[in-house]
Amino acid sequence: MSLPSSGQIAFSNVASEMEQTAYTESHYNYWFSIWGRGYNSNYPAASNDFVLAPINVHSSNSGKYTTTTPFTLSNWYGFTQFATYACDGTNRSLFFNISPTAFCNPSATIIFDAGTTSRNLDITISGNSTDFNYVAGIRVWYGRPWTTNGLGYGIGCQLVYENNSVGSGLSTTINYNYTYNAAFGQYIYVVIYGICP
Amino acid sequence: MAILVNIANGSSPSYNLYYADEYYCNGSTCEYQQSNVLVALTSSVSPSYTRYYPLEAGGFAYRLTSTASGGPGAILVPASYTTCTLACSV
Repeated sequence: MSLPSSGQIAFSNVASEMEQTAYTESHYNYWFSIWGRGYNSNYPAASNDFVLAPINVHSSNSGKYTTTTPFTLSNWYGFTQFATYACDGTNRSLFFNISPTAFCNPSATIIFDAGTTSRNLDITISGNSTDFNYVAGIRVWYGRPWTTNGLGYGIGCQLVYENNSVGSGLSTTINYNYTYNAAFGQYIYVVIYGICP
Repeated sequence: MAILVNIANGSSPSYNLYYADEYYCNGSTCEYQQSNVLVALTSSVSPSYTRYYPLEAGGFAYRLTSTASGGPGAILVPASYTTCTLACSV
């Protein structure tokens, strides 16, 4: 699935692509600049707090989503929330979808397809203090860590790694015993979330 | 530079955990010791609940009884045998 590359596009199309089709909080509903960039996504929230899907910054989505104001729908032509990388040891870039100085709590994600074969995986994360500027934390999840109604997280997923002290940079390899669970699916989500500058 | 993430197949094997009956290898005979011992078998092996697996470190053999979900388990040799005495003879 992906958004059309041209022609008519609606807020609801983006909401559906961002897996937030059931998100109905009145004062945020269709507040495109909020949920379209994953505001508050994957925050360490209670079950009744809002946890929106962050933008998938897969390389195929580069330039296809809104990064600066004013927000325009046409920027989303061709965007896909479901683009994945293979677990092939290639370094993949993970960056904020929007300048962290423009808004509090920006977030971004990349997704890896781990397949259905259980095995050990080495998850390597690296970056210096500049790379992690304004990054409050990074999390790795097995399974999708947000819900379509934007409420809560941790349903149908497993927290693999969490680090909330990355300000001076990070260089780590996590050895993860990946055990395929049909209820969780086959995708590993790596998410960064930001702080207010 | 950017935040870089990569995921690769790990160099060490992954294991599935099981409960098993434990047998002490006393020469050419097997002596039942206890049940519900937590053991680990590499995940590339399809487990058999009717065969016996030697302990990788030697001295014991195990017959799997059910799957387990957590905790450290004694690592078994992936090869299995129809009888406990055969498992103890390797």
